[in-house]
Amino acid sequence: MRGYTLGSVGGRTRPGLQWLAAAAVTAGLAGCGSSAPVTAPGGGDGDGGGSTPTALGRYDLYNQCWVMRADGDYVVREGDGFVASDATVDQAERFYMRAANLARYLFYTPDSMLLTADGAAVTTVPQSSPVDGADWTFTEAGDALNAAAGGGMLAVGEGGQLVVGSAPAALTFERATGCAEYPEMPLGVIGETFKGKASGPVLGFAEVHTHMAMGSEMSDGSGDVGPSAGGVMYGQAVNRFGVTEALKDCSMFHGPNGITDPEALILDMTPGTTHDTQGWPSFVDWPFHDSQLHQQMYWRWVERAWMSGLRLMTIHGTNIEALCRVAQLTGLTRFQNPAELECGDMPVGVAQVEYLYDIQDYIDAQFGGPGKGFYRIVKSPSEARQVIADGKLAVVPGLEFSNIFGCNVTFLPDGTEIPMCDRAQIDAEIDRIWDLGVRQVFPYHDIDSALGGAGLFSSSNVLEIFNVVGTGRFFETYDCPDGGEGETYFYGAGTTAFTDPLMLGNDPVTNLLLELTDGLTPTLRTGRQCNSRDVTDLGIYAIDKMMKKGFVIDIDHAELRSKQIMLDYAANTEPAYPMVSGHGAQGGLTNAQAQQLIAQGGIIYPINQNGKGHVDFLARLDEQWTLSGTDRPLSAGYGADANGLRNLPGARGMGRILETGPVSYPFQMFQGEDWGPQFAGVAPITVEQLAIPGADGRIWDVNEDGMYHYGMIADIVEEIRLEGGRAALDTLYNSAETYLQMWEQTLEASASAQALPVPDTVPR
Amino acid sequence: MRARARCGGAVAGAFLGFALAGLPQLALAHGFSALYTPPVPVWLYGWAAAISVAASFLVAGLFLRRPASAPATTAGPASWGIAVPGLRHWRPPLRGLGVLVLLLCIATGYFGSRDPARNFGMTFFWVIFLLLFPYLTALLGNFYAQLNPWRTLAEALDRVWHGYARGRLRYPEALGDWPALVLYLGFIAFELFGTGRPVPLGHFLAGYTALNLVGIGLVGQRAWFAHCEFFSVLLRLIALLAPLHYARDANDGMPRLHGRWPCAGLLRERPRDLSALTFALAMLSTTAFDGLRATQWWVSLFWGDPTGLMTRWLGVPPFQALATLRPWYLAWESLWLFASPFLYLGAYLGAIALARWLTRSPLPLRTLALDFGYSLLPIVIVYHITHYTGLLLSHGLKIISLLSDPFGRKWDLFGTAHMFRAPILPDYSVVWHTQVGLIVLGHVISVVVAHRIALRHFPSRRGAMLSQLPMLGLMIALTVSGLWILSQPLTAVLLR
Repeated sequence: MRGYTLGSVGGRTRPGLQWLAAAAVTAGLAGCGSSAPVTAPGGGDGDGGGSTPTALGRYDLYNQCWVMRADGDYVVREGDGFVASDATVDQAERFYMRAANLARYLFYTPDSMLLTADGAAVTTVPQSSPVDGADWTFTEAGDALNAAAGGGMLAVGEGGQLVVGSAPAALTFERATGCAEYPEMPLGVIGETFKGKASGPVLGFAEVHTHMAMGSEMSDGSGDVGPSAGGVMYGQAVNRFGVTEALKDCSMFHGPNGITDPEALILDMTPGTTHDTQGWPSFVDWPFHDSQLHQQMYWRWVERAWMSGLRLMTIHGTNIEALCRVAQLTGLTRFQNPAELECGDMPVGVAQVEYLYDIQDYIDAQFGGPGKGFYRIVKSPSEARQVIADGKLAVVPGLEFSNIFGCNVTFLPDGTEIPMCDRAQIDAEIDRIWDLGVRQVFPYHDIDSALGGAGLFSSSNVLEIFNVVGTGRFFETYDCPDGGEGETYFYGAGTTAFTDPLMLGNDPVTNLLLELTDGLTPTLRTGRQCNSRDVTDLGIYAIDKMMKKGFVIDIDHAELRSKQIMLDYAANTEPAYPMVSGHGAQGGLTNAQAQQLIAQGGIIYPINQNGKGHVDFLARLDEQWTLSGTDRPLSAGYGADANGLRNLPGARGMGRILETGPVSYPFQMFQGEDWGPQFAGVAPITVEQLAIPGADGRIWDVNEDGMYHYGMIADIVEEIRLEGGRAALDTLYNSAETYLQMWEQTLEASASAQALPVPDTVPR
Repeated sequence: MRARARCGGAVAGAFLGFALAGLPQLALAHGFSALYTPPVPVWLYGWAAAISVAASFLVAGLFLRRPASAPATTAGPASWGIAVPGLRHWRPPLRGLGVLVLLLCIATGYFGSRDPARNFGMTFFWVIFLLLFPYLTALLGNFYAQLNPWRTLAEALDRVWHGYARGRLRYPEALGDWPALVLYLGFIAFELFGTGRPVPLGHFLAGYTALNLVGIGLVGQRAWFAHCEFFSVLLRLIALLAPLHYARDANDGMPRLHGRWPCAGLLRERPRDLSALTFALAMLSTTAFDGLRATQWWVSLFWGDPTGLMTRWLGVPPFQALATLRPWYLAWESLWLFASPFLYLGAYLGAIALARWLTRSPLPLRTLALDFGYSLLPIVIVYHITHYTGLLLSHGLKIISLLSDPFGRKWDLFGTAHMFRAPILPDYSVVWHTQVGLIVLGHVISVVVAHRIALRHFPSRRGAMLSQLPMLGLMIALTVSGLWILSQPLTAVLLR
């Protein structure tokens, strides 16, 4: 893979094409000037060549240019190997020390090679084909450092040859210039993002629903932990070798030309469709706003969103256990032995939350050591306020799946249900995930559990099958109130039976069949159907315990009646226990419920949409906000559901562009038209069109195809400004504060909830 | 050490099983997708469309009268010839431009960006040429015949190699338009089953250029462009719908624009033989097939393995053998693609035979079939519009930016590189109802045109109406099936 020599301007110009190059330069090549590899000290480009600190710790080499001494002698290149000799500093090999993780580095040479342990030898491999031996772990040894890889230490052998041995060489480093730039996803942002205030409302927006831990490997690439739930999601949020590995060609997963990509056959039902598997740097077909099975949350994309003002992000561990069980039973596995599959919602979800800490470590490494990265996992609102005051991103771990606390349920043919958990298990699991750092929880998800019924929504037809696998029966349904949609609904409720297009159902024979089989046949009734199963006695116990513990509770995916039960139960505390609807309230939400949710201190943040969709949502929310009687200012962040097998927002289209203007690159944030007084004193940043350097590098234009990946959040914010002006920006950049207030009220209400008696039955 | 969490690729396979169980609208997002729901069920649209077509049949039967005389074979009675001397001056530079664009398409195919949206050739050929050109042809007449780059190349070659364009062999008349049909179907297969990447397009255009030049050298350009070069054949047929057509004046040799009623060309021409008729039907069937193969019904037909035979053969359900079966699926789809014109031909001939039987017509089946053959062309153009206009709207404007950066190398030659990259996204309701309207309109026009033709053959109004009853059945079947196919992608996600 190519390296970009620092300091060079542009690329080679082919003979005879000078005039073309001149034209291109005149127009300004996208991406020039702001494509720092990864953050280096002072936000520079890592090629500073400044003075060397007097004492270097094992975290200090990150993403900078160095020359190295081994046992006192400069290390120079000799063929494929390296020698410590009495060479001068000018002759010494330049190493860009790319952080592979905390205290782990890659030695990247100016000719795009990696210094690599190969048995007892030290040699090089191309950066485009990295191996384990290129990943060196550093330890401190007095004033020097030692490095280990491939089971041995970096040592000086005979004739000064660098080898892998048992006697570590004392390594010292001096700042240098002349390194190659390690290939990495650019940010396309000029300037530094804002810090917060020590007191007062926080400034920034909140994302309340993502799945950053979803991907094809839940480690930095060195752990072989395996893919996250789903397995079909290709690509990693982080990788020790950087973007070239994290987002490399997906043909290993999706076959040549993507012919075995399940998205084509299943999600799109177009089995003949192929896709260009090459990821970095061309990214022709992925990521794309409607590509659901390729990584959408590479860490640099999250960094770009953070720079645009993202200050709080909830990341959920997620899974669909029944789906995995089917694959396990049928042997439909991908590179894995079915017997080795871990399908349980809790183990898979918890593993994803654990992985979030690995991601935090990796990002810390890119910024100079533990605690230095922008990505901080927080466990309380006060901790979040501190993180945001430091100008960083507060990450709230969450869980979103059906069988929370292992509360699966099995229905017997006679209708008897067998819960797979009891109160003691719920108590233990609540303590376990709390200790892990989980602070936001979904009591319900896509299929029924011992805690209650899933909220049915447009995609629930297929979920019926999973419900059978997971519970032993189809959904039992009833006609949603008021038809499940219309003026009384903030979000429509229920699913439309898949037989509707065939005009079946709602006839005497079908109705008789439904009554006789009692949930043993799929939903056949016409019209929007809601789930007859709502909160169970065990469910209200769990909800009560969650409230007593202080979890932020997301009511999305709960059945319509379950939402009402939860909202009413939450009203028993003083203050009321607030709840969250963070990505569309699957299962439905009436206007009355929306008003109650808001009045009780909760938040309704929409699934993220393009600027037009977001502003349209604000208008709807404003109506309910006013009717709720709350005195809080209108506020709405969003829930992108990125990596959640969801299409990201598409383009607004030419019609809107003609009306409001396009997102015009580069654009400025935090200062200028529509940026209100809350940004006084905030230095602006300039957001360029995100483009990977080089002729083949991808250009991402939000006007053209919307939100290709999470890095385009900045562009979506600009769309929101164009569509909604200052009012829309105010509600967005107030959303982190609103979330924190909700969280603080949650803890206050939790203290009150602890005084409530443990409910034995569902209050109706 | 953390427990290994490997729910893994399990889900990939599981997806397959469930989706192919015939369940629609799989969108397993934790989020939600709003689907466009027409204000009334699709079947009601089908009934309404069928009634509209039937009503148009009645109206045509009651009010159309037999023309006093047969239409002239050249200019129609409504024509108004306008000499356009400017055409003569503009023709050479436009022809040169046509060749340059062809060469640019080939060059960008080989050397341009692998991203189709950043590649001039991909956008020009697949969107502008294949989509916009037919629509313009239906409005402006067969301008392509004048600008055809392969014709220009052949004539240029003829200047340095005298006699080249006359060919070496006499074109066997028995071949008719079959070569064009074969090439056309091959091209559609390339379009539907290819990867849609620039390099294959470069291969195609380079290869097709070579084929054209060799073919012209063999049989001469007149025969080649009349019977073999399928773009010429295709656009010439579409031009029969146009209210304009070009012709040189017999007296002064000046190029003239002749005006006529839209679709009047359909009354003046008829397929020369079965090959020309089959080509016209292929234009219809391939578009319908393209729509059909995108439906869940079609996908389930193969991957759902309703007979169970494949599962028995493979030992596992087909969706577990995606990679193995994909070539078979391609073969399966290719089979139906290549068979589709002949299936349509069978249905069409069946309708004509029934009409002949009902009217006891003495005319041979072949004569009747050819006479009514081009009455289906209005359906061809509305199928084309309803299936592909969305692509034209979403990608067509990109050609402006690609003029400045044809190879997708981040150039900006004319300052347009960042202009009009955004798609035109009409409202889904507008799209659907426009599609419905166009489908109905196309079939109504076909009914009227067929009736006009029938009045020539059958002496009485009753006989003409009787002859058209089977055609009416065919039209209604095509209308309803066309609407059903179009309604399937309505599962598109609205939230954007």
